[in-house]
Amino acid sequence: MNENILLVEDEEALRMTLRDRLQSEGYVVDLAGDGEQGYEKATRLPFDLIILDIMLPRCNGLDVCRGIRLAGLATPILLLTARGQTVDKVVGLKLGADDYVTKPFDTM
Amino acid sequence: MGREKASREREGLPGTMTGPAETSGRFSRYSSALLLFFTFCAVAVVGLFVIRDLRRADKDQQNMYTGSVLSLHRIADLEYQTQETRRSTLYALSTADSNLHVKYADQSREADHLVSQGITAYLANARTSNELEIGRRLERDWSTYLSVRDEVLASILEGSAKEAVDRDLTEGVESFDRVRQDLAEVERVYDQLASEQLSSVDATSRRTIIRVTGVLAITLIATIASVWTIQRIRMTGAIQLAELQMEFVASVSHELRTPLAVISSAADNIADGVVKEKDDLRKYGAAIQNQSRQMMELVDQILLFSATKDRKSQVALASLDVPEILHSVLHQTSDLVRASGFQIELEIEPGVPAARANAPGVARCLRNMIVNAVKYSGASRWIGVRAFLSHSPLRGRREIQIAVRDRGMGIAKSELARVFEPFYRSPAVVAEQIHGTGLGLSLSKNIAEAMGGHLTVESELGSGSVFTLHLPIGEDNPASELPTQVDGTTEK
Repeated sequence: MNENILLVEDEEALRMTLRDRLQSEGYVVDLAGDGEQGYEKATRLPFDLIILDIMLPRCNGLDVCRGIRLAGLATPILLLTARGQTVDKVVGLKLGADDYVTKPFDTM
Repeated sequence: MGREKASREREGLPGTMTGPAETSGRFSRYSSALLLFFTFCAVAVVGLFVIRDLRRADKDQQNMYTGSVLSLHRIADLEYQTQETRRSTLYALSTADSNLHVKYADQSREADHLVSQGITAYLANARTSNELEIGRRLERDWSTYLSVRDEVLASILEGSAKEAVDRDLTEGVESFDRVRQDLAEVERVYDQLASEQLSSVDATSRRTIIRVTGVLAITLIATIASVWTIQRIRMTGAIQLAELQMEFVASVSHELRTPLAVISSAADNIADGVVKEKDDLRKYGAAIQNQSRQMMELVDQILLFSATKDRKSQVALASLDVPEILHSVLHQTSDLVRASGFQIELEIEPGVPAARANAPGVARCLRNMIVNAVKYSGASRWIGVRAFLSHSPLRGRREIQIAVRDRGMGIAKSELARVFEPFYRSPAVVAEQIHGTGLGLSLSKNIAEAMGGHLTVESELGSGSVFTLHLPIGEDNPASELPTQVDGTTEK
C-alpha cells in the first residue's frame, strides 16, 4: 500500500513540483493551499507524513502543527521553511514537528 | 530638484514621512537642541539669582564700609569738638589774663557750634528709633551743658572767677559727664549696627555660596540627564533600525528562497525525467519564468530603493500621457490580478492633462500600489483606480492624482505614519503571513518625490485604504491654470 502524504504549501508552483516529485517516488499526495485547509485535511484524513510550510495564509504552519498535536495526532510532520532563522525551527520542533527542511531544498 | 525637495519638507506635505533612523536622527537632533536649550535656560535663571546675590553682597559690603567710615569720622569729630569746648572753658577758668579769657571763650563757642552741627547731622542720618532717641538725648544734654558753660563763661568775663569755678564744679562737670555718657552710648549703638551689618553680609555670602554650589550641581545633573537622554534616544533609534533591518533580511531571504525552491525543484524534476509531457513541461517553464520574474522584481526593488534612498538620484522628467501609462501598468499586472481573482475598476477623468513625470518611475509606483491592494484586500476582490485633475491646497496649484483604492483590511491610524518607512511591516500583516519586504511603499514614495510629486494614504481599519500618487502637470500644459472639473466617466 502506498504511503499518503499531505503537502500544505501556499505557493502553487511549489505544490506542483513537489507533488510531481513525490508521486514519481510512489507516494499518494494530497494538497492544501492554506493553513485552515491543511489543518482540516490533516485532522480529517489519515496521512503517513505531513509536509507543512510555515508561512501560510489564514493560519500559519506553526499554529497548524500545534493544532494537529493538540488534536492528539502523532503523524510525522516535516516543516518547510523559507525563513532561515533558527528560532522558527526551534519553535516548530517544540510545537511537535519532527524535522524541518529549509527552502530551497534538494529533491534528489 | 534639491530646492524643491527642501521646500516640500518645509511644507510638511503628506507622503514625505521618513524612516525610523532618519526620524530618530531628526528627533534626537531636535531633542538634543531642546534639552541643551532648557539646560541653558535653567542654568541661566539660577545664574541670574547668583549674580543678583553677589551684587547685593557687594553693595552691602560697600554700604557697610562707607557707613562705618562716615560714622567713625562723625563720632570722632563729635568727641573731639565736645572735648575742645570743654578744654577751652577750663583754660578760661585757669588763666587770669582777661585777653585769654575772651580768646578761650570764643574757641569754646566755636567748638560748640561744630558739636551742634555734628549732632544735627547725626540725627539726620539716624536710621533706627534707638539712634534717634540717643541723638535727641545727646542734643538735650549738650544744650544743658552749654547753658551751664555760658553762665560759667559769663562769670569769668565779668571777673567773678570763684563764682565761675563753683558753678562749673557743681553743674558743669556733671552735665558734661552726661554728654560723655551719651557719646559713649552713640558709639555702642554704632558698634551694634556695624555688627548687624556684618552678620547680614555674612549671611548673603553664605547664601551665595549655597546658590553657586546649587548652580554647579544643577548644571552637572542637567548635563548628565541631557547626555543620557540623547544617548538613549539615539540608541533606541539604532535598535529599532537594526530590528527592522533584521526583519527585512529575513523577509528578503524568504522572498528569494521560495522562488528559488520552485526553480530548483522544477529543474530537478525536468532533469530527472519526472515530467516528460509537453503540457507539463510548458507548465514548468511558465512556473520558472514566473518565479524568475518575481526574483528579478525583488532584486530590482532592492537596488532601486538603494539608489533612491539618499534622495539624490535624478530622474529624467517628460510629458507623460496618464491614460496610456495606466493601461500599460494594468496590462503588466493583469496576470497577478486575474490569478488572484480581482476586478479592477478604472476611472479616468476626461481631458486629464499630461503629467510631468518619469514613465518607468510612475509605472513602478502604480505597480507597487496595485500589488499592495491585491495583497491586502483580503476577501474583497475589488480595486478601484482613478485618475483626475485636482487642486493641491499645500502647493497652491493644480496636480494630477492617481488613486488606488481597495476594500481590504485597512491600516490603523497609529500605523499610517509608519507605512512609508523603509523595512516597516505592520504586525497585523506579519501575523497574517502576507509576504513582503517592507520596501515597496518607501520606494514608491522616494520615486514620487524624485519626480516632484508625492504619495499619500488615507485608510480606515476594516474598510480599506486609498493610496494616491500626486504628480505635477506638464509645464507646457495650460490645464494647470484651469479650474478643476470633476466629471469622470468609468472605463470598464
